[in-house]
Amino acid sequence: MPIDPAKHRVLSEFKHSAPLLCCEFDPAGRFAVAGGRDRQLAGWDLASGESFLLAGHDSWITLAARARADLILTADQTGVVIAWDCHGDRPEPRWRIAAHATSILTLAVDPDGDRFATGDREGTVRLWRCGDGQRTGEIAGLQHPVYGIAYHPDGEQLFTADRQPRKPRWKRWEIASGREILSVEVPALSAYRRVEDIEWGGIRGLTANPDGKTVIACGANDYAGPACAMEFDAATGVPLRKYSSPIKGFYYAALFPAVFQPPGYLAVVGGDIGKGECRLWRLADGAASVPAAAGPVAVPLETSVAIATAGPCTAMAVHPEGRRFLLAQTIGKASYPDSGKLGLYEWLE
Amino acid sequence: MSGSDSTRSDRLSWTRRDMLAQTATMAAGTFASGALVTALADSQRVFGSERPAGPAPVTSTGAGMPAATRVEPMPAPSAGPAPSGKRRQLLLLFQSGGASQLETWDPKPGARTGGPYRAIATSVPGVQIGELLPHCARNLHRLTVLRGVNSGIGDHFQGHYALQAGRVATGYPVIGSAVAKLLERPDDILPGYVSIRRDAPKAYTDVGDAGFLGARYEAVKIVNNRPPANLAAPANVPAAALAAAERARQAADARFRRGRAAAPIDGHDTAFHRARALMQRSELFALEQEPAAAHERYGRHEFGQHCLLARRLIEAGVSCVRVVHFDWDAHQDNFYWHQIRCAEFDRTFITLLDDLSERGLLEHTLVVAVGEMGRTPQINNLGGRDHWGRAWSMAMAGCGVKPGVIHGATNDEGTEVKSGQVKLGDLFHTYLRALGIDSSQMYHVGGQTNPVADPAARPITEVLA
Repeated sequence: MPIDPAKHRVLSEFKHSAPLLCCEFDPAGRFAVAGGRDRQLAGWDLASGESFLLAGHDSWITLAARARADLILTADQTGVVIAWDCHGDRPEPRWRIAAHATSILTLAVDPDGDRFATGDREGTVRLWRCGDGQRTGEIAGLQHPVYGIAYHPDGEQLFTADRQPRKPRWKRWEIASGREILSVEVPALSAYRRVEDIEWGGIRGLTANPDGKTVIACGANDYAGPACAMEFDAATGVPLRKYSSPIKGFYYAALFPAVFQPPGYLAVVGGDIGKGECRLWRLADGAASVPAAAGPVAVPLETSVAIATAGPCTAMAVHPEGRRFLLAQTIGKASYPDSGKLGLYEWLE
Repeated sequence: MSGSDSTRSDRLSWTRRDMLAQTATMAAGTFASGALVTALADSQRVFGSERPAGPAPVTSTGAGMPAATRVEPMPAPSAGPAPSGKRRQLLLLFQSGGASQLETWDPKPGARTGGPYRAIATSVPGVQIGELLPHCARNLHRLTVLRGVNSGIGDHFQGHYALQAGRVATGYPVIGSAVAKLLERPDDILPGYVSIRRDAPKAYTDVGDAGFLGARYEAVKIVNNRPPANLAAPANVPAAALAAAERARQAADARFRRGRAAAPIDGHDTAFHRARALMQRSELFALEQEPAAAHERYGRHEFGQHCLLARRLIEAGVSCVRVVHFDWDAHQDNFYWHQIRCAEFDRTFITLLDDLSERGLLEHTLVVAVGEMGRTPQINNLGGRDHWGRAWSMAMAGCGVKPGVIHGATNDEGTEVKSGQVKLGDLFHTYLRALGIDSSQMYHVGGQTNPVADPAARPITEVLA
């Protein structure tokens, strides 16, 4: 029976002493891990419910992704990536690399799970092997913080997104040659304000449709505006659709990962002060259908369902079997979050 | 001074604050010269009976007596010269909005409040600062850092004023005006105090002024490195016409002066002429004369270019130049925000020190980098840090302070000062002492005396050279 994204239940809630910023399952689906501000990777054995803490990072852990060979990759704000081997009773570090000199803002694993790419706040994009953490290449030519990387499903091309003031861009690259294939400016996701001379917006998350035909760039509509995901034709850069959440997303725009999960849906997480959500947008007629009208079509809110969270939702991960999923959150009194929560959910039929 | 003169003079004195915007504009020369008289006359007519929110001066004849604006003859210079014999100068880099001490001078890596960034080693053994300031880290042995500032102020407007005036009570001159007066020489032509900022500021940027010292010591305000407007003679106006306009202005001024106290009018007039003198040194604003390498060194961003102009003004002899580095008020997305601001500040600050040093200016110039407050150790729901006055940091370099000294410390989470606490009044004393000025002296204005610095505060001797 196919799952119904509107129906779900909470299986467990794991509390943590620091705000959580990322989460992931291991490839075998035995562990759930979450990283956050306390520099420790918190983990839970899903079968026993036992929790554990893993040391190794020296800064906020903001990114987690699973890879082949039973690996979970985590990255922090000092530029370190750690590969956690999940074969045993507990994840163990297999390798640890100082991948960047500055904060890593995005990390993506290729569709085969053998390679990964990282982007930092100075615009450096690097390519790596998952198995041993060896660097295999670099994408040159970006000068602004890279907040999004996504692999094309063919594994031969890569999408990047940055926070160029006034004109955030996403680009399409050929990995082997490092050649730029396409560059698309997205002024609609800019929220530059002269008064502070800061680009508040920018593309804060990027994901590629598994069919390879579209790309999703996440950000905010405007300064303090609603969270927004824009879908583009991956080959031409033509904007196709715009998914706007009713929740202000600006503040957590940096934490707006979008995933094409469950099948036929696009999930985007975000939040505002004291509230958050995971919003699931139904992809009508398949994600790649191109509307005839010029400009992106605003997708009606009615085509979405939301899972509300107590605090801003910072990350989502879907279990390898596709039914269970994690939502990481930051929790706190008044304006200052001081703890985190990882919710384990299950979609129902 | 007769009683009636005094009364009229007082009125003018009290209207000065209300006229501030006009005065600042006048000082910057943004209206035709004859308007000086009009502005004064209008302000007297409209605001003449209003009282200021100024200090109750400590006077030689009784507390609370209103101060007349006539500045008495300067006492013998109290400012000690620099070793070179040159006049000491102040370059104030004002980090408007309030920089986070945790992302700059007082990092707490690993603490709950620490944020994501690392602390890095510096040129002072055993001392680390935030990784966003790599140039400062390599040059920390040249800097004096205060990590125990407790101003107790978490408000932009009050903080802007108080951190520059050394007091919470309003009406006192800010440090730039104080330095302009206390280091003034009879043969000065250029203004004593020039303030540089970018456009589109928040209102609090320009809070703070000469207080009871009067218009003569107001800052000439430079926006985006543009010279004061409307003082240069239009090219298509014949010289004879300009001369006639100047005679008309002088005649109007003379008429206005009749029966009025001279001191306040003199103050405005001096400010006007100094602004015009600055304009006559228009080459100071010709940054295109600087080599491309200098522009690159300072940074092409606004703060860098403003600091380049500041160096030229210091070199020209202006006693105090303030550069407002806008904006550090990172209530949200603090870490990205500080990444941007620190990148601007870090390289430019050290470039400025290098340049001043190479030109022989640093030995008689005190450079101060301070904002109106720090930022909360706690990280808010928006990924930002809010206003915090209880435990924060600042830095100095140049004349009069000990290089490589890190004074004060906060607790493990940066929430309280653990040792070496300094108050805003202490800072004011310290700036003056570093400039060779006796901070215990009094202003003598209109027959009244006011302490130059808060008598309840003290200079921070631990950092004074």
